[in-house]
Amino acid sequence: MLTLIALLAAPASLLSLLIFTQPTFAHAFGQSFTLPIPVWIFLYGGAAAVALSFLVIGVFVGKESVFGRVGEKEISKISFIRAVTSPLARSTLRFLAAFLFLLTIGAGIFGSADASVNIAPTMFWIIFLLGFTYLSALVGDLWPMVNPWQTILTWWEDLTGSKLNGLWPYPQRWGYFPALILYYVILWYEMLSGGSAAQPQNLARLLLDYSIITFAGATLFGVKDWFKYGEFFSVFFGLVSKISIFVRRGNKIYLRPPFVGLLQEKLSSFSLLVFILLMLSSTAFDGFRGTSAWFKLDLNLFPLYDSFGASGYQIFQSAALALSPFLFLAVYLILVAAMKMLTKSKSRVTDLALQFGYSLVPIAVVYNVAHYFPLLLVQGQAILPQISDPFGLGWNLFGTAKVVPNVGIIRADTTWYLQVFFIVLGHIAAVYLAHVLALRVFPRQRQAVLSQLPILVLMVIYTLTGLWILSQPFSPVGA
Amino acid sequence: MQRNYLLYLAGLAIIIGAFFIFKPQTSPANPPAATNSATPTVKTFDLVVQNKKLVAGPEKIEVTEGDQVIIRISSDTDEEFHLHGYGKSVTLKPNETSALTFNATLTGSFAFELESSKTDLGTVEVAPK
Repeated sequence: MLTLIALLAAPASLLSLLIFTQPTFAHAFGQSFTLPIPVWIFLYGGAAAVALSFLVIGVFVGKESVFGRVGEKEISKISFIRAVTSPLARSTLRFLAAFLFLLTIGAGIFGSADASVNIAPTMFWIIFLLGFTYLSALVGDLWPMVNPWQTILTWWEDLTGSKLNGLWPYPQRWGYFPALILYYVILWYEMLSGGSAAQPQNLARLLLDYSIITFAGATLFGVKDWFKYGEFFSVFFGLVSKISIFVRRGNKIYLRPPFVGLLQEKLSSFSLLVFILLMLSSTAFDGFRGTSAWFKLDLNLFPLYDSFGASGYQIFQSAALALSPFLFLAVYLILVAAMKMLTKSKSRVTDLALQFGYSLVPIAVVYNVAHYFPLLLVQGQAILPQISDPFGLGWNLFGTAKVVPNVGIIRADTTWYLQVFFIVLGHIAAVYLAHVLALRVFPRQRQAVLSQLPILVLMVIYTLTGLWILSQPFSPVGA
Repeated sequence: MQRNYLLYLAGLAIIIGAFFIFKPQTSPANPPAATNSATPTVKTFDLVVQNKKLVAGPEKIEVTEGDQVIIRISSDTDEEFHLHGYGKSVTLKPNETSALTFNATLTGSFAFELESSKTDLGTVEVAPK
């Protein structure tokens, strides 16, 4: 009964923040000081992406290819790997993660209300949401090992001596829909709450609400299924970590070529495809709404916003964010339909769309990296003073409380080169993956080659869109 | 295996070759500054703030790395003018002109605002040399 109340109360409380937050147009949390990439780098990136795509396709035609056969190599026996994956190391990490989670909530509730001196906003929005994403891409799926919600539930199970297997079986037709909805809510707070989710107290409340939803989901449908389909971070980090060169199976760790983790299966559900596209479209949305192109659009639409009342602007932005993955989905489905026509395939368009869905993950991940890594580098430094004084009470636990972040840690032009490098890299990976998938899906070589044309067009569209947004002049901030 | 190495070489050739094809030979704005680097270019901008709003002067101040930048601000109210990133501030008094001077050593886009009322006014964009 308690669970049911909690299940109803948590979304209601999320909703209450959603509706009553007035847009304040305060600073978005954190600044990265990046400049738009110059036109010549945009053109260079686009040209390199297209040329390299043809190289990949041309050379690999008809071969399962270089990486596909390299396979995995077990590395669990190496003493360094044994040490970092020992039960002691794992429980230390798990404990540390749970501690940081409770610290973030505690700082949010009891610490200073000033977001710049309280550790909670930097810890969650920057170090965790960006940093842990990139860590997962590099070292693999750490999250299930350290997930604090999972840790707490395990403690609970140990304490009560009963397993949380769920009251009902998880409805399979929901697919990843709960995780998708939670993803949208978190993005909404990140981008559209007018900075309110950067306020320590609001952030703590958000995390507590999320915890209630997680515990309720785990109670109702069992820990295993909820963390597979409903817990947003598990789905998100799980997807990102598929590009990592490390993978764990059972108690063994394997080394593998980058990105091939995305070749193991087809997408199991349409909701996961929309989830991947939301990874891509939300970054595009966040970039686009800072440009002067969006600003001009806004000026023309203001009468329309006003007709929806004081929150009209926020309502429209919320709708735009919600619709954004479907715009990318439409482009995807059109080109998959073109693929079906070219190859005269008997498979349904939706089935082909699921077959090739994982090949979009590299583009989504690199675009996130290109867009946000400067923020992590610049704003992430705030964690140094904050870790010495997490509540903003004037402490100096580790002697770093007075560290002043170096905002010039990375030059604007170095940022441009890295951005274009990441985007082209992701593009090539995606083209390569789609190519290997095509060889599996289409038995005849002619079909496989033909299928690559629409996919190539698709990847070029996504990549150029990403680069184009990065190259757009910013909108005037004072407006 | 031989073929794979050739492939990587071709890829690398495209990446590097295209870079030099697309990269502008010299940035046209710069040659005088380069020959004259001992005396940095001084760029002065005048901003007028009325009723916490920018009524005259550029919303986007564009300079090049290494420039000496002077921003002169006149305001009709007491305020604090703050430039992010560089962390510089200057006090504004009614009907007086205050100046904020800095050497554009950091590249990037830096917002400036009225600190007391947290009003964004515009940005300084420092382009790399």
